[in-house]
Amino acid sequence: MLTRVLPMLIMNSSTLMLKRPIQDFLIFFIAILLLIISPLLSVCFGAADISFNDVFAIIYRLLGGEAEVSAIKERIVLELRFPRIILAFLAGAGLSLSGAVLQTVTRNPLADPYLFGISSGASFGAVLVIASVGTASTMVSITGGAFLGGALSVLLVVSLAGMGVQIERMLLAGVAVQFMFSSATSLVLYLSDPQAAASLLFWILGSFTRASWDNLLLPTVIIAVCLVVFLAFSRPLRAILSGDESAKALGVEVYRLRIGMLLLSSLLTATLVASCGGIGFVGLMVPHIVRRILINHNQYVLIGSAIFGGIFMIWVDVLARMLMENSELPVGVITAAMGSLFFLLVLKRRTASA
Amino acid sequence: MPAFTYAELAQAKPINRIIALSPHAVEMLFVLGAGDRIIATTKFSNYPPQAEAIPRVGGYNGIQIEKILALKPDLVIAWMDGNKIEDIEKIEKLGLNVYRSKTRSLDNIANELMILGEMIGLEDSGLNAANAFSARLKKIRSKNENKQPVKYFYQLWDEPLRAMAAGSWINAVMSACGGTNVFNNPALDYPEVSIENVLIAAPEVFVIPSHHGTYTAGVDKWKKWPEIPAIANEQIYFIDGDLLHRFSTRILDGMEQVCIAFDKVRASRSTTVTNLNMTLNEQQGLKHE
Repeated sequence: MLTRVLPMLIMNSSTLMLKRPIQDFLIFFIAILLLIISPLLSVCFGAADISFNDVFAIIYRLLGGEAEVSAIKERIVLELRFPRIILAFLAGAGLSLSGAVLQTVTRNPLADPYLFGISSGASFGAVLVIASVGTASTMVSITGGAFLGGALSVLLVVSLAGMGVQIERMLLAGVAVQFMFSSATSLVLYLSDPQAAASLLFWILGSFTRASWDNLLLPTVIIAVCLVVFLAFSRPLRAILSGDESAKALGVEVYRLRIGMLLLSSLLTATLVASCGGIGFVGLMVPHIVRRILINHNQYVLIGSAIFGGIFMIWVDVLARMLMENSELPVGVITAAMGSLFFLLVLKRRTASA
Repeated sequence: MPAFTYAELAQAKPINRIIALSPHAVEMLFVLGAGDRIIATTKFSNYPPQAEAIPRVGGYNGIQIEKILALKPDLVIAWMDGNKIEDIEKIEKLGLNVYRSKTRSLDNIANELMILGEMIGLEDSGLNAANAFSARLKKIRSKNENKQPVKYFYQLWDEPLRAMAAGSWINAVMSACGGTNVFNNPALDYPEVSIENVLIAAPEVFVIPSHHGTYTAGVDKWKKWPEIPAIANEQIYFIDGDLLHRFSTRILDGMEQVCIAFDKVRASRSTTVTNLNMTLNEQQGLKHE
């Protein structure tokens, strides 16, 4: 599959590049620039006063050069801020990717792992594991719980909506499942005492404070695997966009592909919920914007969503740690605030054009 | 001015059936010698051990008002910062005799002991308990008031990392022992903080309370940050949260433990200060201008 798709991607891109060379080059250039600058610049923001020069010196030293920088600043940057920025990037990239795939297989631009019930299913799984196992719960057991919850929500959505072509039913089922799991999570919260509830609330609101080099491996591997699989299936996925019937005519096994992609999206979401809690609306916003930018390059929407989603999340996290002095703000609160505004904007445009 | 004093009211109608809607009210009633009059309480009332046998009518999530009515109490001791205000107002509207206990300051504990004593007709034991409490508090305060300040971090919760800021009333316990809270956050009493926040604050000591008998906090994650003076000098103290977080006479037991811990911190200064990996200059360099 991969061997068939990749050359095609490259061929397509080269012919399109020739048609609109300047615009394409500009988008490509901006993406690369942001990808390099965002981590380097965002690492300067935080509780401790660390300048761009300090960061530059630390990286120079890391590459084997000689530079003067205090040991404590070096440790803050290398052991606290870089893992956090990478986790933020991974979360943004993964959620946007998941959102882009969900939007494609459901042919609905407002689909998102959060709206689809996957996030709330995964949050419920994680919260249940933490509440029952307590402090002994490990990253692996939380991820497992989150995945089971996420997969359960996908299965529920599919069984409620049926395997048919009615995408609207699927979305409604998603909303219903989301409410169901949210209420189950609320029950767990209600039954635990206030301090424990505050800790569990973390899984619902989302935060990158737990980031460390050790727990970056799992999300990195899973996002990489999912990205490769999504890219490998990008052609049949695009075929689905033109309708189930025409996709079938092209030889695409629509139902199996849809279920497979939904499960992969839930794995992706679950992994991220386990490491940074439920962060909503990123998967909705980012692919939407990317699709507008890459209007003539549908084949790049997936990879573009991953890159821009990651960059976006790096800056959201900067806000999370800078908005309040001496304290952290939950990331999910910021994304939900931005996302709901975005949602309204999309709705307004749609009604205006209709 | 009320038409009657509490004592006159108590004489007119003896108070034998009390519902105490907080762990601290139960502890106070036992101190006054009225533990056997408590007919119901809430979830976490576990001290003294006899309190475990008292029937329950709710917890943090609310109280069972119908059950309270059915028990026909002579007095309900409500907790302004712990019970829901709607619940309190409702039982008041239903015509029950409600006392609103306020957990705001240390000195108010003596005050409440006195009021409760008057209300239930045990004026003398109320007065004695109040005087004993005030005297002990005064003694601890005067013993510690001229000591060197100690910069402390109160790690209320581990995951997510939560501090107790200077606005919280637990802060009063710590400052009586000469403690200076490294989180002087005006907006939140219990702010969520990051490892980096703690690193910059550079506390000399960690105070970690338990919650209902268990410690959630691990010290392991701090071990790799010897830049924090408390970690370098191994000044981490675990204290029973039921002592510090409860508005009863036992808070002074907790306070004494904190004061002893802070004395140990002061004693450790002379021997280990040179081992610190982070100099004062470096710490200053981390703070935003």
